[in-house]
Amino acid sequence: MVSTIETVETVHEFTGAYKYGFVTDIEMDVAPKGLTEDTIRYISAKKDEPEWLLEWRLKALTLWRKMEEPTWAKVDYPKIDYQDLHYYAAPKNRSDGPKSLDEVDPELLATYEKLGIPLKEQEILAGVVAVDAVFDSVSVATTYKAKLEEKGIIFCSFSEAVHRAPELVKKYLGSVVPQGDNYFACLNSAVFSDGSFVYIPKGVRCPMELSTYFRINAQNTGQFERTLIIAEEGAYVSYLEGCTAPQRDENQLHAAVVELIALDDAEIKYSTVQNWYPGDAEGKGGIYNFVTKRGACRGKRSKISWTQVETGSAVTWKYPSCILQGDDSVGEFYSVAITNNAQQADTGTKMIHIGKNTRSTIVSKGIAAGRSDNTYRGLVRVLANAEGARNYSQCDSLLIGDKCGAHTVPYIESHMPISTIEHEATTARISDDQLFLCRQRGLSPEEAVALIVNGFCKEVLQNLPMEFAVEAQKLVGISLEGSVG
Amino acid sequence: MSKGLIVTDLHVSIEDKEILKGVTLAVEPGKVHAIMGPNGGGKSTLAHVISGRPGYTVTGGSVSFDGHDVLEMEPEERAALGLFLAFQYPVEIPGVTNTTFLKTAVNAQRKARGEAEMDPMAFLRLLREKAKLLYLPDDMLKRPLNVGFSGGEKKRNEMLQMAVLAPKLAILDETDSGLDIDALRIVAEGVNAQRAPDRSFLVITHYQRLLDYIVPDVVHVLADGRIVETGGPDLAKQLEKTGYAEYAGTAA
Amino acid sequence: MNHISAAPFLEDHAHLAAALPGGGPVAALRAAAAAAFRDQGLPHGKVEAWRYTRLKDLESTSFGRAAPAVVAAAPRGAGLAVEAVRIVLVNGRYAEHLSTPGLPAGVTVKSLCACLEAGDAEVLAALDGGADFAQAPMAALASAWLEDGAVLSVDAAVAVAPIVEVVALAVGDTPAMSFPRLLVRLGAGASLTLVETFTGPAEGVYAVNAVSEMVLGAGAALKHYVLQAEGKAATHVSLGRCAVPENGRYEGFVLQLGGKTARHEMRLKMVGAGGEAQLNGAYGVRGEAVCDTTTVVDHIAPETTTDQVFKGILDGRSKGVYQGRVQVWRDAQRIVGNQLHKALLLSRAAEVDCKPELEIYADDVKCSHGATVGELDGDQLFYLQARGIDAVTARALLMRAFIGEVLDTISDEAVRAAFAARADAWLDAEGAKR
Ligand SMILES: Nc1ncnc2c1ncn2[C@@H]1O[C@H](COP(=O)(O)OP(=O)(O)OP(=O)(O)O)[C@@H](O)[C@H]1O
Ligand SMILES: [Mg+2]
Repeated sequence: MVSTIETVETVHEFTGAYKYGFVTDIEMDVAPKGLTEDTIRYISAKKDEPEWLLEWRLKALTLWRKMEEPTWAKVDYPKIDYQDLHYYAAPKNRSDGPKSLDEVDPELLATYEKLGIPLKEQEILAGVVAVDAVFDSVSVATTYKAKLEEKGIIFCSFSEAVHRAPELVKKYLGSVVPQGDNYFACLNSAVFSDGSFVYIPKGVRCPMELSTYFRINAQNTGQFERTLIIAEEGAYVSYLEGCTAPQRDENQLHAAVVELIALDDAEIKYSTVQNWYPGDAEGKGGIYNFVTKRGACRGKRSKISWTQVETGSAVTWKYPSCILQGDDSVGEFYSVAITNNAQQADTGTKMIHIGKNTRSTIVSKGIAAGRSDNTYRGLVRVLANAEGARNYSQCDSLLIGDKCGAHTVPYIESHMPISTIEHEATTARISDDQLFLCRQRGLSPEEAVALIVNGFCKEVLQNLPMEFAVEAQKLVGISLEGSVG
Repeated sequence: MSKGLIVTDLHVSIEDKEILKGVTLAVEPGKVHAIMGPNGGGKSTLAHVISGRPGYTVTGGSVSFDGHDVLEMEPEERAALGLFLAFQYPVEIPGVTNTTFLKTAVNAQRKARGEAEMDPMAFLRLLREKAKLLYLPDDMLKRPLNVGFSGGEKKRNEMLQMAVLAPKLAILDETDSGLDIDALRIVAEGVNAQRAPDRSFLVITHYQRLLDYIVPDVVHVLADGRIVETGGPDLAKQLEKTGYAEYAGTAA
Repeated sequence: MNHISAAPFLEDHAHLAAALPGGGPVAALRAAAAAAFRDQGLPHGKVEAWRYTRLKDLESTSFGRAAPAVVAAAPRGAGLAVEAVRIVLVNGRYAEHLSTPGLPAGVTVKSLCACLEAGDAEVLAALDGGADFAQAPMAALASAWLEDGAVLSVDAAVAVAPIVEVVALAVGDTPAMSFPRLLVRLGAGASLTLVETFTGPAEGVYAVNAVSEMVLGAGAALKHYVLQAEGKAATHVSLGRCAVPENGRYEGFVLQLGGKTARHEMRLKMVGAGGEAQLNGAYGVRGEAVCDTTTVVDHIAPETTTDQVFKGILDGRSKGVYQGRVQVWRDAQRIVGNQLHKALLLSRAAEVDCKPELEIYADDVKCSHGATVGELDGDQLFYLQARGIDAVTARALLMRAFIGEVLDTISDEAVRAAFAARADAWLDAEGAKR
């Protein structure tokens, strides 16, 4: 409370006009710490947003204030002081980042090395150069852009979309994840900074994998990212999020929201490789990754497929879900979650079967090493009209070492007799025999673990787009380094 | 530097129970030694200790290979030296294809020896060629390692690994068990094709049949943790008739 | 709804409890239990362990404590149709005159009331699994009113030949709650086949809140079969607890066929190496009823094995719940823990909720769970019909087979037959309706 008042005062001093919040001082780059209506007015003004969006954000704030931070997940982290955070920071200028790779944490560079990341990309990832400073990427991005626009595809930052496609944003924003959905999503709704917007018109197959990587104008949006993807009837898009290399990031709290909408016969494939900083071996530092991702299969025969490889972050709280409204729609969730050292992950999915003959598949592979905790939490709900619904879930956990924990918490709720739900889960460890076989054939213990774990995750990894899959495989090995010895 | 495998007065125990009670044995390059003996005599134990499987305590003696004291080495270091073990009970690794597994192994060994990685195309050619010799169909190369393989297929798959990795010493632990007559011949031919002046074999078997195909230079009988008899190929033939009753007394 | 007041259940507790048997320690236990229940209130959907089962009648109707009742003879069919030594509790109180006189050698039965009055510290210590009230609100309520029940003891190394059946009978015609309580103690190496049967008036509104504790000596073997056959309008809540010691054996089976809202929870603690447990069960639920089976299996000691299979058939607008948690503690290595739940939904209005859970902190484990929900297999149905069997018979046949599979795991033949007969009767009532 005290900090709130302080913030208000600070704001007052800053702007000299409390009534209008920060609006007058649009040139300022960082909002003062704390979350008030003024913070939100400031963000909204910075982005030159229409009135309705500001109202939308403010409504979220009102809701959020009444909510409590969830405690049901099997994760444990120190209490977050939400008034002690900056909720807006404009793209940083070069002066505060490292000036060359020489100034970058050598461990980070060692990882890039192992992943085989080209030097130019290393510089971007480490924050030495901005993406838009890399002429190669700019040209790549612009050529792509032209190609996409030809097909009527909109692929831009969320802020840009608010101006370019206001009707679409207005229609779909919050239609899958309403503001008051959960604590973190609500926070995001109030303060989201930026993110991606994708619109695929009717009947269009997006000719390339869309990736945030090629998007030049939304940096430093990690903290409260907001993504909206709309696939009109018969459209198809494959979207890639994240990067296999650990990203240098100052923000501790990440509360992103992703909304997907698939209309009749549309298909959205959403792949994530999440490798935020996991903290050190003692559990110091690292990102709290509290993400709400949800897709609505609104149309008949629509399909949404989530594939995620989660290896980073100190704490992960994430349940990419599918609402299967359209008859014959399909939801998929393929997940690999690796935790090592002191990491904690509570991740899974929700499959809500509403339409007839809806189908869902869940394949989850959890790998726990070190002193980490790895939880699969999932919900399969078949509602009373979902005649002919089918779900198949397979959740396997692998434990490496005797100081970690692996947990499986599925919720299965069915209101429909003409439906089939099958759930299987297993927990085991890498057998000594498998390890010895690999070593007998010449592999080091690390290589052996990487190989065996990659085999364990294969069903999931093979769902990733080709170029990602190779890096993800390497990442599996790197994430588990030091787990055997 | 003495070439080949030299096992000297090797004592090994598991959880305080002595399994090998002083085994001495020398396999020179290019030679084929067979080890026979009753169940539980310690044959697999010997094979495991030579290749460095964890869980055994060496309480005395030594094992050297091409002059290296292998007991001090990690299993993968021994593998890189050219020691290969064909498992009595081949292990399954779900999700890892035969091809991936072998490619990873080949390159790991090459790296350890300071050699460059093998060209992927050249590797595939080599793999296919060796698979063909063992009559292993191509689709088996794409399947996860040993998962769902029949007993005989697993054994032939061990031979494929041997052929591709081209070790200096191959220890075959009952590779003939569970093979039908044709498969036995195929495996034996595979081994014979690999015989070379710089490559030796330690063939553990219960049956003379295999030794009809792979004619050994020396035959040992390992019973109750000791080599109780060593002879030429005729020893195996004689054992076929008399069994191990003669050595039962040594158990005490 | 974050709290449902406990007050109606604890009215005048301090005063009334003072009149209950036992000295200071018992009173202290009651007070602690009452405080714990008051803190938590009546369990509700926001409490994770109760998310699927609401005790609706207890929320809306005020249930007083069931008064002592004198019953001349146990009603026909109250117990299981097996040859057994019977111990009868009426409204939770030990009814010696209804119980079988003369016990097998090495077996003693006492009323809990007598033990409390005698200040039997061992008995008191064995109750409430170390007063773990925070994890068991309804058991806390039961302990707040701790008064009577049965204490059954078997001497070390005694293999009790006859089946011992404890019948918890509810009587009376006003909405009241009874607290049947059972304490079973097996000496080292002893063995016993125990049946717990819960029953009451077919139509009357009543509530049962039962707690059973089983304490096993090293190497003891317990077969523990529970039949929940309460009346149609009853609210039934029961909690069983057993710690399986070194080389101990536990074979449990829970058959739930009655009640309007019924929940049976079994908690197993595998506390000694070499312990093995099987915990199976079946339930049938129809009408508007809710039937909840909850299990918590704790592998505390290494080298312990547990296996669970539950099957349920749901019809009408009913709701079936299965929650099963398998926990493996740190350093409890070489564990096998398997769990399976299969539900058959016969009606579109029925609902099944299932939450099988694994919580594992040791790496040398083989744990699995599986769950399936669906209707009768269309292919099988067609196959039978193609062989000339009419649809109704074919369905009945398949349902029997479905339940039969798990009933077959009951190793005691007499109990298996008696349980199968009860399940059949339930299914027949089903078949008749169709
Ligand atoms: N992990 C173990 N723990 C305890 N005893 C073991 C273990 N492994 C092997 N042994 C014992 O060591 C002895 C030798 O076993 P080994 O497998 O070496 O015999 P073998 O000669 O290969 O027999 P076979 O012909 O049946 O393959 C046996 O008595 C066996 O039971
Ligand atoms: Mg052997």
